[in-house]
Amino acid sequence: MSAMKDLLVEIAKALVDNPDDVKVMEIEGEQTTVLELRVNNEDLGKVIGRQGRTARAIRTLLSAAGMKVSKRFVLEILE
Amino acid sequence: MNGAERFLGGSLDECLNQACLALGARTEELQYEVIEDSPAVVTIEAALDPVAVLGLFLREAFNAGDLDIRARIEEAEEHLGGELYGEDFRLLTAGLGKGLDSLQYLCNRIMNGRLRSHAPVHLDGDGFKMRRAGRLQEDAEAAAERAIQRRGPVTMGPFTPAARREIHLALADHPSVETASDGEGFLKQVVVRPFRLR
Repeated sequence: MSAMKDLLVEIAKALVDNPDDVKVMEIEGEQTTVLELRVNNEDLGKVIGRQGRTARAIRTLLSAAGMKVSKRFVLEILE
Repeated sequence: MNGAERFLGGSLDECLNQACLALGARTEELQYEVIEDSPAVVTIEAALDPVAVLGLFLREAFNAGDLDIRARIEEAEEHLGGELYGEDFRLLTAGLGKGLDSLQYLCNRIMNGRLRSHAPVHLDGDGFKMRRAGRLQEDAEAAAERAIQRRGPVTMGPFTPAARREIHLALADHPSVETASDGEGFLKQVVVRPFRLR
């Protein structure tokens, strides 16, 4: 399990009301890794935020932290 | 203690367990005061400690992400300050601090969800935000000069909300240009344009 996946799990769990329902799947490519985030339906708004601001902040933070391993991380929030 | 509630039990541990359940917290996130400690019953007043909640989240997030960053949290009068340091802090300040602003935004969302009220979270490290403000002011003034010369709009960014604020403030009293944010969401561009001729 990669550090970026663990980081995303920590952030998502801290944002939602139902942390036990947070699941992240990691689909690793050569240069890009897709992180698929699933949360309880009630918590979707919490990880997306107004105008998608929270999701954007998570993406920006993952890009910044991903520079350490010189990889691109793409966040997909699954409904 | 802000918004403290009372808990009764046969021992201090029992009281703390009850407080954790009721407040959705871990013991290390609580601040409490023992109100009564008799052989029969212990009473405490407990509440979430914002410094502990923020500190624990940051520590666990940095650990999870395998990032060498540590945080010193201090409660100031009007904000909760997080001073970040460590080898990997530079990852957060790259690209005009996009990572730092994003983390700060997320910390505020998280604190809003957990505490009824809290002071806004400000994250910084080694005076980064002050230096960034200086640089953004210089960039804003250069953009204003270009807008005046070409008599048309100059677009800067995209920037985080904190960086946009620096630019709007830097040019707020400028005699010949005005600024506006353009776009949607967390990152937006800033347009600097000369006042329309009347």
